[in-house]
Amino acid sequence: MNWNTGFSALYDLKKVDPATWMDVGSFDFVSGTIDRTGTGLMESADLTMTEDPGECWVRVYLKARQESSGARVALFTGLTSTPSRSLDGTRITYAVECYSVLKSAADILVPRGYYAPTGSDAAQLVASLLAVGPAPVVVDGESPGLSEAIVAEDSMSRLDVAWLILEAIGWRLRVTGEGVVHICERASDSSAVFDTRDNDVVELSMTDAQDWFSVPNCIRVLSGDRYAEYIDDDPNSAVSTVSRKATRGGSGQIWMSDTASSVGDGESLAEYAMRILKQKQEPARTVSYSRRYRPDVLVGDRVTLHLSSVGINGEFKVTSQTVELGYGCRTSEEVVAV
Amino acid sequence: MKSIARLLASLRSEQKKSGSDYTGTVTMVKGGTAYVRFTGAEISDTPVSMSVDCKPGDKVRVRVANGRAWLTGNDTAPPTNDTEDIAVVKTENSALIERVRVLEKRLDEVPYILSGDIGGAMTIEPGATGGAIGTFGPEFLTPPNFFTELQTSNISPQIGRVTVSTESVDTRGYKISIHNASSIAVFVLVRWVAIGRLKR
Repeated sequence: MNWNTGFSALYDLKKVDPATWMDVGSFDFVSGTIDRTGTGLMESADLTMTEDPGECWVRVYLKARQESSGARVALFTGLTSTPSRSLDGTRITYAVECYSVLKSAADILVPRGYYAPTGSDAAQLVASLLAVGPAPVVVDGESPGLSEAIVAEDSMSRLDVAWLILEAIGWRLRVTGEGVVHICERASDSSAVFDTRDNDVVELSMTDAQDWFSVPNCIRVLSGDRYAEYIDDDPNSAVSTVSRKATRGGSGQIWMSDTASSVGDGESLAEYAMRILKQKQEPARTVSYSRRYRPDVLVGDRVTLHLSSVGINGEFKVTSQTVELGYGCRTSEEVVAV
Repeated sequence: MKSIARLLASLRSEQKKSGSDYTGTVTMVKGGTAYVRFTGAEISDTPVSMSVDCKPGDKVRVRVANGRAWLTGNDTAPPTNDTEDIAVVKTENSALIERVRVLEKRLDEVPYILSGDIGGAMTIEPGATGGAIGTFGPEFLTPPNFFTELQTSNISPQIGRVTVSTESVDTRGYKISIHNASSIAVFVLVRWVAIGRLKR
């Protein structure tokens, strides 16, 4: 199966047994979309079905067919909720919202006074927080320890605390189509290359936004009685003070402040300041486009764009995706330059 | 419906970062960290930065925000609380008062009243019979002078007369006392000498 060329798409909707996490039955559905983001519940799906599934776990499959090959890949696994009916006199359709496998962790508050202890294995702690639902949770690699304890507030769910811990250690969550939650490092390599030659999967209609004026280039960090400042004066950075001075005729400084809530283990305050500023500078350039579906590219992954004809080259991080469960499994994607 | 769900999720996420205030009891203090059991908490002693001094057992106020917790107040011993200092002063005062009482009790055995401020003029007064018997000038207030004066004044209940300066008065039935708590040391010294002298 070559995902860089066209394919025909069919879809299956299966009922999932929460005990075994295997498919146990089928549903019919008319259409749907899957939304993926990098925060919160990370993904959701909206399905239009011809029967009421009730509240259950479901899984959506893509059956891709090419001339001599094909593939069946899971696109989404989630929990159906709040079905509503539409009646047009002859047919009844059900609009079904599907929540992600992280919903269980988002529904349960942590105990009052909960905290993640200093030096604890952060990824394992996140895994234990998320392991309240039926979805398998996997830790990929060895995570750093926590340099400082993280204390939860009363209103925080297990998922909220998990995100706090992940932010502190610079890791992320990656939810696969099978509904397996991976706790892993932030992507450093590209999962896919999109160009105009062998990997020509991106549609011509694109949006390239550069929001430099809301992106900081100076940061000050306060942590207890410690203080650090970092100023991006890299002439190669489009948003640095040097670059902005040349284009704006002013000092070009845009400041942000941070309370150093997520200093990594062994990380100095200055290093933390640099890391956070780089993260905050990521939205400086946002590119939106649509392309063919690629099962190996999820939110948080990196892609390399070589679209020289439109001046878009380099590495980008995927920040959101919308997958249309229709012809060609069209995927609308938003990426930011890294 | 989808957009509403997202909006609610976003609002909920923002709400969680606003910070929360708690009360609790300090269970342990280690380094710059106090371990606090929040009111209503059952399973954990939460580490809290000690921005306010505290000790185990103190009722404290805690703020949690952005994954950090720090003390904002100590209800048991607030920073402006001088209870301990007051207790110390009371103890010291009690001891002082007790010493004065003891001395006064012993002075009751002495038939003279020596009144006035150390550093100023003082007067020997009769106890029950009334009437001043003499006035001492500031030079009298230096203990050696006082002792000398007493000795040279020939104070003696047995003799029944005392000579102060140029006056000679009947001292039978008189008491000697000094009313100045701040000069208690001098008072004690003077009184003992006076008593010793008077009892001869």
